[in-house]
Amino acid sequence: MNANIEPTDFVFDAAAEAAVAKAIARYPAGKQASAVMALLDIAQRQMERLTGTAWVPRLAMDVVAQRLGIAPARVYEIATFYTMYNTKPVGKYHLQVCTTTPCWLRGSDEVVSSCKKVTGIEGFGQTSADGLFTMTEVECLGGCVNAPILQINDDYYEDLDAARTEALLNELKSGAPLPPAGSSIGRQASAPVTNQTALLNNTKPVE
Amino acid sequence: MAKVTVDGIEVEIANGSSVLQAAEAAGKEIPRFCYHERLSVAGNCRMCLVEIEKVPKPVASCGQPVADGMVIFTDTENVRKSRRGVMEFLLINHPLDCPICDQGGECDLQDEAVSYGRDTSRYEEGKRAAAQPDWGPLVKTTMTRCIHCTRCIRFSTEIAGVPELGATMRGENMQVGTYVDKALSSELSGNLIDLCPVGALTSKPYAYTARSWELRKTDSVDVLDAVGANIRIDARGAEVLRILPRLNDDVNEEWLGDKSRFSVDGLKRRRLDRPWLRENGKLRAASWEEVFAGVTNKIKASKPERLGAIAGDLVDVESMLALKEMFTSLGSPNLDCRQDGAVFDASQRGFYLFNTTIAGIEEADALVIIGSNPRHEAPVLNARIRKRWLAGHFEAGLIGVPHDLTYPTTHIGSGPDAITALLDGTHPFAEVLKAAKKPMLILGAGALARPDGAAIHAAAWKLAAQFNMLNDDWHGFNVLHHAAARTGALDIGFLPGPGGKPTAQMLAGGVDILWLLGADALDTQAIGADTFVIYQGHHGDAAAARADVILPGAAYTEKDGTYVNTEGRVQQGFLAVKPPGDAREDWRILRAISAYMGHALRYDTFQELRAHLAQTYPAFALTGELRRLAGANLAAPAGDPAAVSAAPFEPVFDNYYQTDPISRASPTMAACVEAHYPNLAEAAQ
Amino acid sequence: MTDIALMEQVTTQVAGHTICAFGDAAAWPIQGLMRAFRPLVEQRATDYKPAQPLAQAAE
Ligand code: SF4
Ligand code: FES
Ligand code: FES
Repeated sequence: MNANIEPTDFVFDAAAEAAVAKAIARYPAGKQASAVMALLDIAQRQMERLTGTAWVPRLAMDVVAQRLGIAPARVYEIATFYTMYNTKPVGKYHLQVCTTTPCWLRGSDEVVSSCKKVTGIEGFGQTSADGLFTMTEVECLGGCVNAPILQINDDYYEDLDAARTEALLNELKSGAPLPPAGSSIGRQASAPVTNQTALLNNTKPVE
Repeated sequence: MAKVTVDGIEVEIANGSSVLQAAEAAGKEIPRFCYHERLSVAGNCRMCLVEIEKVPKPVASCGQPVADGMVIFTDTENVRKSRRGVMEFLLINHPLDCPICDQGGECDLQDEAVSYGRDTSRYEEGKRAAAQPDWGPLVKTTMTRCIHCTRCIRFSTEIAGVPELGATMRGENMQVGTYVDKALSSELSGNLIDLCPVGALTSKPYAYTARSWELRKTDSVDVLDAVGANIRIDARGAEVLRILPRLNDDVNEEWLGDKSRFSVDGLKRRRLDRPWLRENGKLRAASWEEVFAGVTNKIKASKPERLGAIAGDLVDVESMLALKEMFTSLGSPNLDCRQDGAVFDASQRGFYLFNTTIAGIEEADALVIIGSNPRHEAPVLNARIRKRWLAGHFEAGLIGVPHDLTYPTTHIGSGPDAITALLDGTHPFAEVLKAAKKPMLILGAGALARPDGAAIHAAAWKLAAQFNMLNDDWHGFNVLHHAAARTGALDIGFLPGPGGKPTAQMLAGGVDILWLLGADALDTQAIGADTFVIYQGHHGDAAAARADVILPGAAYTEKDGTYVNTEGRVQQGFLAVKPPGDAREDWRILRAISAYMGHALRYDTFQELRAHLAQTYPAFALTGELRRLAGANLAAPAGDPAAVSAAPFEPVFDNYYQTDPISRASPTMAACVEAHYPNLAEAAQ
Repeated sequence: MTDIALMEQVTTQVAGHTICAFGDAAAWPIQGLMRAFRPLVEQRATDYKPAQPLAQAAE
């Protein structure tokens, strides 16, 4: 995987083209620039399909700009602003650790150190030697109820602690596919950990 | 109209104006960093906070539209406190390195910090670091000082039309830059330096040269293109250090092209600072006495009709008048100011002026550009066209070499036959012109410098007449000159008199003695081998190398002088520094030589010469102002519109940066050519 | 202690001065914390022994 170098060429493939057409059609004529976020995402996913690493090379940004008739600088601004777009190649598994206050209080430091331990990565923004993992620090992922959260590629893994994080990553390391997302302690959605406490029919309805 | 009260003063202001404008109308000053009258409103610095009655929070006045009956307070304790807060936050990541910053002394941040800053910083943590991107040879970046006002981004996107700058990353990591490393590809990039309210963008060639308070400031007029941009020359001692634009809404607004701004270092190099004489095929330094004697003997020995004079592109009107009158008194009719060999009917002022005027461009709704690249020949004027295009309902067509003009154009054709296609309606753009209410055309002066020039001139006029460009209150026929001296020279009739020879004939052995007044753009190879060439000018360029006598003159920064821009606007420039060495102001040289020859010109002082000019040519009595000509009922210029050839137009300049002796002598301009035209730079070596 | 005072003062520069609700939202928790728990915070700060390296405070 020579994903570390800028590709010399970028064109949308057939699958991407279909998605692009759909994304652009969503906006009224003359306002197609609005599709820029969707197009960047499509480009990133195409890169993932073709090279195994989800990122948007600069060339792809230029292609997006050209397609939408906007200045390349405008696309660079957007691609660098949102952390969801990777402007550098990442590993097969992109470990996005939330370290914002709720997750931090609930032990995100443990998640971080487990990630480091299993993958050998030394700090945020780095990729492991085997090219499998990249770890980044992200702000609140909006899943604070089930904190701490580790997002791997598109999915949330919740209620983690050191041991469970390690187990999860070791599994991935051994070549297994991504396990089902969600709480790692079997919690149902965001229900209380200590079982259901409301709507148990043991209280009288408020008159 | 909305009536608002600002600090107890009632003002009336157009609906849709901002609170900041209302405050200005009331004479209140509002501090601002991101707001700029000529750019869109961003509202991201928060320095312009004011209080408005019934609004709980302070409001950013630049982005808040006025409403009838609004009561605004610009100077309450709360406002001052808020601004102090904003100031402190702005300075958190600012390096506070004023002592080593070129902006020092003319920095908005510094100035506002005097009113709203704290005496010491309470911030003890580490400051943000930023990369220093390379934006090319003109603009130096120190991005740690950037306060993210985004003026530079808005300028390059809106005014310059090269949207290369952007703000990448976010939050504390936000960086203003090009993202990909590259030199800015705008001819107006120097204006970023003026716009940046802090020292993040400063002038690279001028780096660490001087402090603003050491400089002597002189108002003048730019001569490196024919727009006549108003400039301020900043000098220290005998050296011009920089040139900045001056505000003139009718001409350059507040912009200036990069060539005009950064060619200053060319004023110090390759200068002719003493007279030279050719002896036995070699030039040797001489005294004024010697050259006067040499020139006088030569001229005395020659027949008047074998004398000729050609005026160059950077010369002031007064010098040309002196030369013209000297030649007239010698009895020679051989005068020409069109060193490019253009021959067309210049008998009426309207035939060679930019009649619509630069400000008038904003009224037009359709435009045809013929044989010109305004982006290179007059970047500031091109910005005006772009401004008009941005306002909407405007279509532009182009005949000639296709260029990126920063606004879309319909390419109608490459040669003058495309004019014919518009005339007989075979090209669809004719419909656009027909539908337009105020169509205009721009005829590049370069397009006239070819054998069928007169025919092209006549055809363009016919186009104007046919498409309703010439009527009582609209004159849509425009010639865009690129030589600053040309319009003035045509105004004083620096043209062949009865029986006189034009440039081409003078060069081809038509005269024995050829007087070149700063004429460098002609083909020196074409000058007959036994023609005696007198070169009067300031730079050792092509013509000086061919000269037999060199009379060292003054560059535009070194003399008072009148220039007429392409619109016909008469403007005066003033002396900023003395000419170097033995060089003298050109009119003085001419006056002295005429006395030597016994034909002394009638004026002893510059004031007398200028008064004489205004008397002889009434157009010169009015300076600065401009009377717009009406276009109705004018006779067409001589020339047969049908005689145009199909040969495609050629670009006038092969690059923007080096077009005249001053910019050719400038290392900064050479660096620009290297950065933007690598092929040309290589060929030159 | 001086940090607390500084922090409190800075929040007043933010709260009520921004168009963006995040400004207030960032400033209020600190104001609230100080209003309600100032003695406790001060207590903890004075009792604190730098045994392990300082953990990063809230953003
Ligand atoms: S570089 Fe200057 S003009 Fe550009 S955003 Fe920064 S402070 Fe503003
Ligand atoms: S703080 Fe981690 S998801 Fe909200
Ligand atoms: S000038 Fe109003 S926010 Fe910057």
